[in-house]
Amino acid sequence: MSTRYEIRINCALSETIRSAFSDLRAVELSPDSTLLTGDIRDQSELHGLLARIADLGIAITEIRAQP
Amino acid sequence: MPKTRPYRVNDAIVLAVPPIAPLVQSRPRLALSAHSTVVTEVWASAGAGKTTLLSLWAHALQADGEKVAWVGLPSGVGSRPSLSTLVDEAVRRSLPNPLDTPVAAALRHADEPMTLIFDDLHHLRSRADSEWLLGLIREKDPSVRIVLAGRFPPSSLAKRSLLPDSVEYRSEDLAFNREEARQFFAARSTTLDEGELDAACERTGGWAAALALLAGWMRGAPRPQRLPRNFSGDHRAIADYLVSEVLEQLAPAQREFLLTTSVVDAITLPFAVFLTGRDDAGDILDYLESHTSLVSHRPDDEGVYTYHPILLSYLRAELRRRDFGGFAQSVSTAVTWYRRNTRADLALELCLRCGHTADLAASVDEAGASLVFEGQAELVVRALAALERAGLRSTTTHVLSALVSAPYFPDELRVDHHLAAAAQTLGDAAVSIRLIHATLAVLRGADAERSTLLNTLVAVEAEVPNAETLQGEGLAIAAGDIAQNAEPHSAVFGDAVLYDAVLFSRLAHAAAAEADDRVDEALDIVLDAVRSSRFSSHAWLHLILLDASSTVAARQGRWPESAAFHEEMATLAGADGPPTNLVEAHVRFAVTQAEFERVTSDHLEAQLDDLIAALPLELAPGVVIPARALRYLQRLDAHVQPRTTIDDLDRLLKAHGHAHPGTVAFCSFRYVAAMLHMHDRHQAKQAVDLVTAELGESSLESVLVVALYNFSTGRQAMVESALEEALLNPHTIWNGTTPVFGWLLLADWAEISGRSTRADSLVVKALEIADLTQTRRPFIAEEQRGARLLEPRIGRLGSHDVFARSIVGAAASLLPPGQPRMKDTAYFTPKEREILRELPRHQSVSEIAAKQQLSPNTIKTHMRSIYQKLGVSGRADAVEQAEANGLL
Repeated sequence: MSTRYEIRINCALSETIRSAFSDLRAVELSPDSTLLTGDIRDQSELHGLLARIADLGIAITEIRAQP
Repeated sequence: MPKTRPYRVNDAIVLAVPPIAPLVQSRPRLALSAHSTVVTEVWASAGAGKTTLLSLWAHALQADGEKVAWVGLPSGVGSRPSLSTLVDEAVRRSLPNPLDTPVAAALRHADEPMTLIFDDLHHLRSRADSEWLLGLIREKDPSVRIVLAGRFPPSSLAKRSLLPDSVEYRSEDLAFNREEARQFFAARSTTLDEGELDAACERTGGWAAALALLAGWMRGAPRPQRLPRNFSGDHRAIADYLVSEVLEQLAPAQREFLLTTSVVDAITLPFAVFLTGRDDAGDILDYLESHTSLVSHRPDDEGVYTYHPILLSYLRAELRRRDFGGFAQSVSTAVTWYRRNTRADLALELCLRCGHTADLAASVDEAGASLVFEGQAELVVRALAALERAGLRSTTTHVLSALVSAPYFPDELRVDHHLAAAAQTLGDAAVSIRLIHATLAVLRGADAERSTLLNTLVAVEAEVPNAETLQGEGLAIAAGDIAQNAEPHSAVFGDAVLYDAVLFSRLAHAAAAEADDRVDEALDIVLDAVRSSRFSSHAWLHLILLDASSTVAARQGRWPESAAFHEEMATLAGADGPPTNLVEAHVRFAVTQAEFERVTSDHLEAQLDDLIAALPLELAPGVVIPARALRYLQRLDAHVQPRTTIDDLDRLLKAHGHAHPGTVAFCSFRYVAAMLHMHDRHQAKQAVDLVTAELGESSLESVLVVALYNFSTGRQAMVESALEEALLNPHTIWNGTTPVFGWLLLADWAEISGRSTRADSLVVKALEIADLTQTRRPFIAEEQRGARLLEPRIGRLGSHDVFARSIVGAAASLLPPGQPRMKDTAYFTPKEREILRELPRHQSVSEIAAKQQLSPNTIKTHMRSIYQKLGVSGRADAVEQAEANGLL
């Protein structure tokens, strides 16, 4: 019962970020916008992902869910 | 009392003021509130310099001779000490002389000023802790200053806005402005020209972590006044960019060191040496600490080194990218270290974080059962899910998958599947695993197979060394050894998990005995095991055995003993944070339900909401459904939107009643009564049918609701005597409160029909039963009908007088303010109910009479009766009152 989440972050996609989120698909949209997409099983996993993003000090500009 | 695993303070609970790292500059712009009555709050995201600011304040206060206590909350789930315990410890550590009063008292009446700093409060989850903290802020001595800090204010502290003034600093406030940034670089012997300073401030946004990295880079850069190449051009996340620049500058040995050690969150020197195989680990760590901002070090206790969290995240990603093989090797080495040092939980967490399934499988095999018995089911479940996704199944993973849902087995098909899969490869498994499997098989098995399964269990037990000590006294002797604190388990069984598995297998023997109707024997077996598990260090196991004892006792109708076990469970099932395993959840619910029945809790709704919120329905229907039902009952009693509530309860029972007969049982009386009050007879009949269908026609609950339904009909006399008969010689009783409701109903009817003496003796009967378990709730249900029966009788109830008074007191305190109680006989006859429904419409009496096909005088008589029952004197008031009571 997973939901697809798209999370937009306000930086370019570097190799480091790609490997930090190796479980997600990462696409660079512009020099200061990257989209991370993944199938998230439940809220707990989503919160964990958001915490990982926070740990890296990255700002989130948008989150979208597509069940 | 079983010891829960000792929570080592180095596991990130900080109870002392952290040392100030070198080169930290003071920030006079950001000052602590001048008056200690004003709370200072700092809420800023990671890397903003929050903790540094707090320790600056702390050190300044200490330099002025003031006492400072510091509590930094850890992030883990699972049991940890309560906030008040942590504060106790922190305050004690901050004082030179030992306190002679308890800390709580000292904070309320302080002799000298002191400051309490709370860091990482975003980890605050437990309601009990939040309430405690708010209480402390309200009641502390004015000279005690409080500082609250974290990444974000936890929602449970939302009420703090009701508290006295506070000063709040947020990320923007903590960001370094231009002047502060200049000083920052100057302190690191770096001067930038204006253009470079501008670029630095703009690109980093004044974010402390990034500035630190930038300065670190400049320290090592060939021409220190130049900014890193592409600094203004590159749009990678700033910390990401800077970390790679800094790493470029390090010598290969140091880079290698960082690579290997960044896999873990915190290292001690011995661990670092083990992990890297380098004797000079200490030197490298010190170098890194002084030359980069990547390492810091807490000199208390064991000298733990940590990496800055933001940088750590980037480090890990960066290093993983650079050298995957080396990274994997370090993880394995770290896992080995953890396992050798009996920290299987840290090993599992690390494997899960790094996705190392091979190491994960080995750790689960070795320590999974032990972790489950300890109560860390949540962690094991995550590990099992990861292994499942990787296709790594083994006998152990199957057995553990079944074990974590014991003893309630909410998903029966899945449990059976795991047991069957494990059965195929059992031969090679360890004795403890086979023992657990055999136990689960008995618990899940159908009646017909039980004796075969039991024989299998006995056969496995025979393989346990010192098998003769498995019986009664033997277990107690072993327990005595354990209480001596000797290397206890090995004295008897040589294997701690084996001992726990043996205790666990008692459940199977008890279940088999009960199924055979040897109920006394079943109770003995399980009580025996409970006594022994008191000494085991594994709280989950003890809880599960207590729960079984309670259930067996209840099934035998031994309510007081069952209640006593609940008491013990209540003291054990910690109230901190969400439950981490099913048993804890069930126990918390049982405790809450007991408090509901005894009317002893002030914050019942909060407790129930917590439980319901903490567990998804699929995972724990056995807790969520009854908890929701209880929540509705509590709302009914408190008169909160009675109409909506009864409809919600109706839907819940119709949807889930079949799978949860116990819930139907404890709701049965109020469900039918409320349906009768607020809906029509047809719907009430449906409710009665639901109860009889799920609980059986001959159950006391069914007899009771049938009686209720037939009040003031031609069948009343018949059902009345049927009920009395059933109360005296019950066939089946599903719930211990039902007899109390039964006697109260009979007493009420006796009272209504003027048979006051009979009512007296019936009331006493109700009290007798209720007193055994201090059950007050049935007297308060239903407009406090029962309590009203008690009031005129106080003083004439002999030994039950005290209890009766406590009931009346509890009833009075629960009454919503301004809510007049309905008059004595609040039961409306069916005809009265129909007429009541007509009242809001603007029809004259003759119109109603025509509709009802009765004479206007009859209608008026009914209306008078309705007014009297509602305690009003006019039609408009009647409508108002009826609406307030949910009748319309």
